Amino acid sequence: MNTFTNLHRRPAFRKLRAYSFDPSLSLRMDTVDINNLTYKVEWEELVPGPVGEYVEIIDYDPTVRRFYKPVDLDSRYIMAQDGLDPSESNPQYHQQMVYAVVMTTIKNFERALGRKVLWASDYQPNGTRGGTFSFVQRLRIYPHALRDANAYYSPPKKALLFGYFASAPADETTLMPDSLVFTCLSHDIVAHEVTHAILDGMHYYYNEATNPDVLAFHEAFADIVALFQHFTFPEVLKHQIGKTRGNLASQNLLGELAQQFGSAIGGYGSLRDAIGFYDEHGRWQAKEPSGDEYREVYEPHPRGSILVAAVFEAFLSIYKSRIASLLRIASNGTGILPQGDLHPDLVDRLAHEAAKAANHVLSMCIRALDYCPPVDITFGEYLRAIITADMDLVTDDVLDYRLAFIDAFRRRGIYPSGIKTLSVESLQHKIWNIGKTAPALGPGGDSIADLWAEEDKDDCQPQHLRGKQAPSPRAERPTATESINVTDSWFTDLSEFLRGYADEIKYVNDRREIYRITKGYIEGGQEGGLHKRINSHQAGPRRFMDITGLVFGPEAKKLGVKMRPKDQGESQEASFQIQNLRLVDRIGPNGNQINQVVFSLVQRCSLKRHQKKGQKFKWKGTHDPVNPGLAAEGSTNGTACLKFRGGCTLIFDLDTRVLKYAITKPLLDMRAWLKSDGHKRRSDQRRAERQFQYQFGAGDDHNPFAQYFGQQRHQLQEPFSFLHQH
Amino acid sequence: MNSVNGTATSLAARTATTRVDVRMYCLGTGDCFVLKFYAGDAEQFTILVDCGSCVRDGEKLRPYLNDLREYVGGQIDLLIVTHEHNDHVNGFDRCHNVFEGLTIKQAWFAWTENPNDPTGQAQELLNKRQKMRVGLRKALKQVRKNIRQNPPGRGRPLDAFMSGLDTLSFVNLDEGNNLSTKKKSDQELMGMKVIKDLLRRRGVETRYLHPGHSVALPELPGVNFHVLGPPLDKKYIYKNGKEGRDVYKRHFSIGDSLMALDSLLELNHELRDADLPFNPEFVLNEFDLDDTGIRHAPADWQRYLRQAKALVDRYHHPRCAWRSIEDEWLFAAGSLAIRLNSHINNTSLALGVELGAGGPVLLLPGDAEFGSWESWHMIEQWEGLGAGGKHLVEDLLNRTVFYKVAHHLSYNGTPLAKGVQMMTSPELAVMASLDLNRIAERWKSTMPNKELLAELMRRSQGRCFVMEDAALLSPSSDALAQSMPDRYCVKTDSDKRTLYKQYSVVL
Repeated sequence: MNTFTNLHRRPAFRKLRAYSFDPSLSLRMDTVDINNLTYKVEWEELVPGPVGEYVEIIDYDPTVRRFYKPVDLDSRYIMAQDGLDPSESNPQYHQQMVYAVVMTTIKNFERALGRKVLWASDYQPNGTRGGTFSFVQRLRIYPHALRDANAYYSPPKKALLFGYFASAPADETTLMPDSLVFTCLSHDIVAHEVTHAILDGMHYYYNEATNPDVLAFHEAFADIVALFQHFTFPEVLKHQIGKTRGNLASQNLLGELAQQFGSAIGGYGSLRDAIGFYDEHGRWQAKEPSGDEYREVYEPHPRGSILVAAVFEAFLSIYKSRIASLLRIASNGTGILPQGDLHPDLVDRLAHEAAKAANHVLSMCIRALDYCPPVDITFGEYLRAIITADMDLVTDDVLDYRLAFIDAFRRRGIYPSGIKTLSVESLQHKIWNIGKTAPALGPGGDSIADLWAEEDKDDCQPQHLRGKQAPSPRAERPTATESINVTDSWFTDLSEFLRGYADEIKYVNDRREIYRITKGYIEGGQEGGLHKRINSHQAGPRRFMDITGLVFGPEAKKLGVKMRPKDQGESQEASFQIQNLRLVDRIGPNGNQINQVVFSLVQRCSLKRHQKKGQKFKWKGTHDPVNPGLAAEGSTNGTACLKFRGGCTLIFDLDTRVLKYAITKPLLDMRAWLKSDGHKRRSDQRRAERQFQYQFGAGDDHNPFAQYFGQQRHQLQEPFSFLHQH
Repeated sequence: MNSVNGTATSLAARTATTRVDVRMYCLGTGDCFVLKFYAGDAEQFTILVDCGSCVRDGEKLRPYLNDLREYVGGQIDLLIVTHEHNDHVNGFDRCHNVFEGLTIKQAWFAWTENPNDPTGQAQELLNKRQKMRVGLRKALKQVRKNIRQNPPGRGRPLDAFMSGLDTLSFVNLDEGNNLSTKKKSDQELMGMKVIKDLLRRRGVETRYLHPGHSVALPELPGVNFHVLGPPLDKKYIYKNGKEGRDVYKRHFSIGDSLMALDSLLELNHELRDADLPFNPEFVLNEFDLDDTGIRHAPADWQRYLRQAKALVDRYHHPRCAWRSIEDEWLFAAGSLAIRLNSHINNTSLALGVELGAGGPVLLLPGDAEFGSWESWHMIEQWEGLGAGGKHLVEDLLNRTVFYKVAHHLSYNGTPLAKGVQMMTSPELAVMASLDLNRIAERWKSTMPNKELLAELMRRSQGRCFVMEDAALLSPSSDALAQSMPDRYCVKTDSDKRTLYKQYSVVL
C-alpha cells in the first residue's frame, strides 16, 4: 500500500459561495452580510457542468440556441476561493449556485429519510403492453431554459427548468427596472423546484390532481422545505435576532423573515402570505388563521399556503417553548431584556435554538412522507402521517411537538376524515401488528369495521355490526378466523422476505445498485418477488382486501381493474403496481431504532357512471377504452368516465416481523364491503364522484394560461409549468 | 321618462327617443349589433356596432348580412368599430361587397386607432401591437415546425398548446381567417384595413374618441354618448385585476415587458450578440469543440474542452432526446398571445349611451377588460357629476338598462365591484354574443364564466340573452320571448338558423 494514501484523504465538504436569498438582497446594506453565504456541500467527484452523482447541470439556452461554458468546480483557482465570486452576470456562478442549493436540499432529505434520494423512474410506453421503467441517475438541470418569470420541474423530462426575465418590480428601489432577473439565483426557487423532483421520486401519483389538496400539497411541501432550509443557516438567524434588541416577541421576527425570504423575487412569496401581513403602521403582524379557508379556497397556491402557514405556526410554538428558559435567564426572570444590544452569546443561543427547531420541523415533515397514502393525499392525511411518523421515532414527546402541529392544523380547519377525536392517539394511524409473532392487541383495539364506520356519519352502518361482533360467515368461503390465521402467517413470511431485502440493501451506497436490488425484489427472479407473492396470496385474500382496500382475485374484473393472465393456466389476476419499496432505518433521540420496510400498492380501475331514471347514479367498472370526462359533450347526465386509483402504503416492522401500519385510500367501498362480509364489491362511490366533480365539474380554473394552453386537469403532463405560470 | 302622447309641446319632446331596438345578429361568437332609435313610430337613427365572427368560413356570414342590409334599408347613420379583433371586424372583409353597397354617414373609432394621434401614443401602441403580432406569428410557425419534427409517442404537451395558440391567433392575427385576399399584413387585421379603406375612399366623416368626452348628435336630441374608454393612460391598457376582489377569480400580470419576444423576433435569424443575456465570452463556441479546435487549444484547456464537448454531446444524444428543451420556452408565446389579446381588448371603444338627461343607459363596452373598466372610474372631469355627487360612471352603471356583455361572458370581461355590482337598475337586460357551437376552440373552456352568468341572470331577473343559450340557460332565453312579445323577439330563417335576437328598450 502506498504510504501516502493517508495524506490524500478526501475532504468532507466542498465549500461554495452562493446567495442565501437572491441577488437583490446583496444590494442592500442591511442584508448584504447575510446574503453571501458559503454552503458546505458534501464532497463528490465532479466534471464540468457541474455533473455529479445526483445531478447534471447543462447550461443550454434554447432561446438563443447556445451553450454557456460549464463551470469546472475542480479548477484550482475556483477551489482556492470557495467557488466563484457571486455575480449575476456570470453564468458559471449561476451553475455553481444551483448546484450548491440543490445538493444542500438533497442532503437534507437524505438525513431526514435515512436513505439515498432516487429520482422518479423514466417510463417508456411500449405499445399496448404497458411500458418499462428505467433508472434515472441524474436529475437534469437547465439554469437558463426559458425567458419567462417561471421555473418548474418537468416530470416527463426529470428536469428542472429555470427562466430569466426582464423585471418589472413593484419596488423600483431594490430592483432596477428592466434589469435581468434569474430565477436560478434564488435559493427559494431552486430549493422549491428540486423538492418537487424529490417528492415525485417518492410519490409518483402526487402529480395527479384527484382532489384539490394534491397539487396544493406538492406546492406547499416544496415551499416548506425551501422555507425551513433558510432557518437551518444560523448565520442568517444570528444577524436578524441581533437586530431585534429588547423585543421579546421575537417569534414575530421569524415570521416576518419567513415572508421576506419568499418575496424577494416577486410571486414566489405568495405561498407565505398566509403567515402574516403589514399593518397600517408598517409593523408585521401574524395573521389569525380562519377555519373557513380550508373549506373555501381551492386553487393550488392559496390552498397550499394554508398548509405552509400551519406548519410554520407549529414551528413558532416549538421555538417559543424552546427559548422560554433562555429568556428567563437573560432577563433575570422579569421577561424584560435590558436596553441596548443583546448579548452576543444570547443571540448565539437563540439562533441555535431556532435552527434546531427548524431542523426538527423540516425532518418531521420529510419523514412523514413515508407514512402517506400513495394516491389522492389530503392535508388531513398528511397531519396523520406527521404524527404517526413522529410517534414511531420519538417515544417521549417532552416538548409537545406533536401538539403544536395538531393545534396549528386545527386552527385552520384541517381535520382528517375518519377519526373520532382530535388527539395524538387518534391521529396516529391504526397499528395492525399482523403476523404470527404479533404482540396481542390490548383490550379495546379497533376492529376493522370501526375503522371505516366513522367515515361518513350520515350513513352509518347499523350499530350491531360495529365493534367486535363479527358478521356471520358464509359456508363457501374461508371463515374469518381461518382467513386471519392464514393471513397472519403469510404476513410473517412476507416480513421475512422483506428482512432479506433490508439486509441486502442496508450497506449498499450505490444508487444504481439500490435501484437494481429494489427492482429485483419487486419483480423477482426465480423465487418470485413481492409482486408474485402478493398475487399468490389466494388463501386469504379476504383479509388482505380488508386491510388494503384494494381488490385481488378474478372478481376484480367487475370493478374495472385491468386483468392480466397468470403465469400458468387460464385464470387471470388483477393488475396492481408496487411502488417505492424502501428501507426506513432511523434512530430516535432516545436511542430507539426504527427498522421498517415500506412499500405502496397502487391499483387503477376504469369507471363509468350509470344512472337510471329516478335513481341515484352508480359508478361501475368498465373495460371499454374510456377517455375520462363526459362521453357525450354538453350533456349533464350523460355517461361520465373516470380513471380511478386506490392505494395503500404498507409498513412492516422488521424487528417483530409484523405488518405495523396499512395507510390506505381504498378502491373498494369499505363500508359496503365490510357490512356485507366481503360480498359486496363496488368502488368507493363517494370518492369517485368527488374526484369526477373536481376534475370535470363546475369548478372553473381561472388561470388564463391554463385555460388556453393546458389540458384538462387530470392529464396535465406538466402540472408545475402551469402552476407557476403567472 | 319623457312621455310622448301625440300632444307634443316642443320639438325636443316630439323627437325624443322613445324606444331603442337592439338587434344581435347571431353569426357565431362575435359581435354584430344594430341599434335602431325610434321617436314614437318614426325611425330616427341606425347604428351598427362591429361585424365579426369566430366562424371561419366567410360565406356562412352572408345570410345574416343580407338580412342586415335589408333591415337598415341600405343606410347606416353611424358605424362604431370597437376594437381590432377578428371576432369584431372580420365581417367587413369577408362580406365587403355588402358594405360597399351601404351608405355610411359617420364612423367612430377609439382614439387608439387614430393614425394621426397628436400625442403619438396611439402610434406607439400600434407599433407595440405590430411587434407582438410578428413575434406571435413567428412563434406559431416554430411551434408548428417542432410539432412536425417531434417524434410521436412521448408526451406531446405542444399539441394542447397549439390549440390554444391557434384560438388566440385566429382572433389576433389573420391566421386561419378566410381572407378576401392572400396578402396578410402585420400592420393591421384585414377586416380593420378594409373598412378603414372604404371609409377613407368615400370620405366618410370619421371620429376618434377620447374617454371623458360626451358626444351629442343632432339627429338624436337628448341622447348623450359618453365615451368611457379606452383609457388614455397605457398603464390601464396593460392592467389586469387582482384575484377575487375585482374580477371573478385570478388574473395574471401583463404589465412586465416580455423578454421572450426578443428571441421570438430573432427566430430564423442569425443571432446578434446583443441579444445574449451574458457577455459573449461565456458562450461555448462549438467550433472550439471539434477535434481540430481542441488540438489547437492551449494544453491546459484541452481536458476542459473535451469535458465540455461531452456535455454538449450528452444534450444532443438521440437517446437523451426526450430530455431536450427545444419546445418549452416557446410556451412564452402563450403569455405573449394572452397579453396581445388583453391589450387589444382594453383598447375597445366603450360607450355609455344616455337616453335623455338622467334617463336610462345602454352600455356598450366592446370587449373592455378589467384595466379599462377601472380607468372609467378615474376620469377626472366626471368626478361628482352623477346623481347625489357620485362619479358619473357609477351613476351611468346604476342606470344601465341594457348591457352588451363584454368579451362574450368570459371571466375577465366584467369586473365585480366596479362593474356588475353597480348595475342596480331593476330594468336591466343583458345580451352576450356567445355561441358555444360556433366558437374558437379554446374559448369553450373559458366562456362563459359561470359565476358571472349567474350574477347577470340574477340582476337582470332572467332578461339575459345569449346568442346560443340552449346549453347554458334553463329555460333558454327564447322561452322568455313568449312572455314579453313586445320587448323581445327571435327570428329564424327557412334553414332554421337563428338570424338574430332582438330586445327593445322602451322609455
